[in-house]
Amino acid sequence: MKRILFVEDDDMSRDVISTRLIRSGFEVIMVEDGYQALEMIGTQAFDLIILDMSMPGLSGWDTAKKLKSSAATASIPILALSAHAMAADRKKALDAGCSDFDSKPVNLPRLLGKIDGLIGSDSKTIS
Amino acid sequence: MNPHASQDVTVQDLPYFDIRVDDLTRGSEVAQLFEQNHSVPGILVMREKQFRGMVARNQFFQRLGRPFGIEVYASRPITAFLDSLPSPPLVFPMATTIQNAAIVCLARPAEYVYDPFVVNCEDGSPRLVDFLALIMKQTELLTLAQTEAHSQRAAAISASNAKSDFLASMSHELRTPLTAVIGYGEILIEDVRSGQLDEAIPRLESIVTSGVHLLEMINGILDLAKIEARKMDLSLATFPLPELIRDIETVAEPLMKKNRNNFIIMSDDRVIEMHTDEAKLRQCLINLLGNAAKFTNQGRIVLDVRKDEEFVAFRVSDTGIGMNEKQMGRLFESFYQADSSISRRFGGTGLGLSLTKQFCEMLGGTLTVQSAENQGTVFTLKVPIRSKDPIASTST
Repeated sequence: MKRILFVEDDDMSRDVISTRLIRSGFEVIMVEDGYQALEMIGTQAFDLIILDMSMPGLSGWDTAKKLKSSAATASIPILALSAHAMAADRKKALDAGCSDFDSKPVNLPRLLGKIDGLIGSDSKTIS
Repeated sequence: MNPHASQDVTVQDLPYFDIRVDDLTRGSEVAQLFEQNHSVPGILVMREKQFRGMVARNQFFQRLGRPFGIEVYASRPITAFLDSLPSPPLVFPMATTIQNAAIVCLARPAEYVYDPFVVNCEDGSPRLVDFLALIMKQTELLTLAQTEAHSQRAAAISASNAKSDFLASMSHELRTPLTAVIGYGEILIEDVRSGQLDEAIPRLESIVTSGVHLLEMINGILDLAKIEARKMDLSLATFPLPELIRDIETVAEPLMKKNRNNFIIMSDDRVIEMHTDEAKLRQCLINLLGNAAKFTNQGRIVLDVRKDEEFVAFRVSDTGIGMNEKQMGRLFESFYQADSSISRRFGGTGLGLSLTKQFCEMLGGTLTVQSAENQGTVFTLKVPIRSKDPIASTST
């Protein structure tokens, strides 16, 4: 089962989106901000990070930059998931090092398509 | 200068010369007059108080310089010179704008382009105006118009940027609760299909909460749009202030209980009646008290109502989390909350204070804030005891 680290500060969004990801067959680990994300990645392996952008403390943009600047985490794909849905917001996320961008509210087939594009749909799991 | 004046400036606003001679005056005397008055660009020729013509300095001396010029023009009356001109001088009605006069003047044949011209006054008497004075005025007006256009453009760009920022924030703020509405809705469809209804109630509650939040936000946005379009009306009425305070106490009490705050009202009984928009004042006070209650936990919130000359000062102080300078600076901006997690932790649309400030200004009042981190916040809302109807008191 693919492991996803889901970083989202809004309680309802975190609950809704993680429920849908779990029902779609992923293992989802949830954290509430950028620092918790860095802490989690330091101790566990993930296939994908789904990252909210505007968060208190360490923002999604800054979190992505830190993850990309470290050799240990640079290769983990990051999917930015933001309620900032203008074209410029997509660019800003990609510039920060995110591999792809999707907007909230979530369109599940579209989100799953993007996840598939980043980590494939094979059932290989991390040992 | 009035920004709209550039179209209103006419040739009668230009400096003028008023040296006149009778049409029987000899050319040599006119030449003498020119020599005695170096700055004079031309002389008016009158016949019995009627305008007869204009002697432009340059044209006149040029004629005198021609072969036999002295004989032909200096020793005879000045009419000999006037009659030799191919066309009469330009005469403008006094309401002619500077711009139109400049266009007509500049269209004269090249050799006459620098000649002065005549402005006909109300009483029919002519004034002589230097061409250069006209061109200088026109240049000044063009410069002014350009400066105006620049600043209007800058203002328009900044307004348009502010609007784009507002729309971007609005889109973000609406999408977040919609994530919950749509997401929980889709989850519930799956739940119902599979008969798994254990968590249906909290999910439905989340949908309702998010829906209510969206509605509050939309109402706030509509209010702001109304204010901006100047379509928000005041409905002024005279009402007893103590009754409003009692009302507010009833509404605020449950808000205060949520975080177990102690709520105290101190009211100055000198103010018995106010004449203002009661509904807007009430909304302002409830917004401020709601804010105080939200950001204070097991503390004390005081509403102090006091007469302050022609105003009533409503002071809402709390012992809550307070704000730093930076947070206070942007406090009244729409959708600004001191920290993006605030709306999640504390709720609220991010529009309440922005609206409170706008409402209070419509009532002719002011809203100020004092705060320090972890030391609480004081909002002071000062509203005139008698608000004026904005339609009667302002012109836009």
